Amino acid sequence: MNTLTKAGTAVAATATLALGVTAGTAGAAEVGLPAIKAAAHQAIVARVGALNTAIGVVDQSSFMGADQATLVNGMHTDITGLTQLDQTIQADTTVATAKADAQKVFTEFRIYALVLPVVHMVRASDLVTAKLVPDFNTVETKLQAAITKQDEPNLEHFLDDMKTKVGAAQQAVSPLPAQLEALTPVSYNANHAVLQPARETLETARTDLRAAREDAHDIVAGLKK
Amino acid sequence: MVALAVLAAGCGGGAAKNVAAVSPTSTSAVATAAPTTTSAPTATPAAAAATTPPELSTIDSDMTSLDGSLAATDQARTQSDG
Repeated sequence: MNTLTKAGTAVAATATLALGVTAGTAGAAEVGLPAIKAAAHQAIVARVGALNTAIGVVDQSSFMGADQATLVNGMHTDITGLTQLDQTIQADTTVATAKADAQKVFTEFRIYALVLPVVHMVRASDLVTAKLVPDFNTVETKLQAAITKQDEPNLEHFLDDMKTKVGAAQQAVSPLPAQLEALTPVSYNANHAVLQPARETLETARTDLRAAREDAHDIVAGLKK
Repeated sequence: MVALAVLAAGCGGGAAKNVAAVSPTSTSAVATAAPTTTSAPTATPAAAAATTPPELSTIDSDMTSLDGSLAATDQARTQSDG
């Protein structure tokens, strides 16, 4: 037996030993455990990244008032929880435990399905009530003065419609932040459509505000004639 | 999931259409039209200023931001169930 053959035999023997040790200590059922851990880690890292991005958006949205701190604190809590869960999963020694813990990334956090949509919908609601509605009200006042000054009563119906649309948007959206912030992963687990009513309300409000904006532009165009 | 995708697509389309229809073009058109309008005998500088409340530009900007928040909402919801 030459040197190369001896070396090859030694490698084969070592590989057989390693496989034997793996099978002997962890068992066939634990095959795949590293893959479960890696997938869970990847899922957690992605969610933590998305949460940090959302925190940045909320931090830049001072018009959100008290909702700003509420949401940011909630997201920091989720980041802490996900980080701890990742440590737990990486320490798991059986496939069954790792799978069960990995499922918690979904069932106990619902970052994509619930947390991030809630953050963005609360921001949208606050944008409507704290910025858009006040600005529309200011525009209404100014356009009313201009209509009166230029004696253009035929433009009044645009203004009336504008006020109606803005009022409807404000009334519909005002309760949303409190309702949305009260939702938890348990809420979502019980009803996967739990966000749909709020999303539809915001869609209606956006449609109303677009119409109000068109009214304003129509008034401006009418006044310029 | 299909409904959400359609909703998201609808929002995106609406947002794009909205942005295209809104300020940069129409505001600049109004701004450039002002001197001509001002020179017309029926308009005055005060009237021109009164007819274009500056808050309208802010509203246009905030509407775009609203579109962004709702698009982000739909994107997260369609990305994963968890």
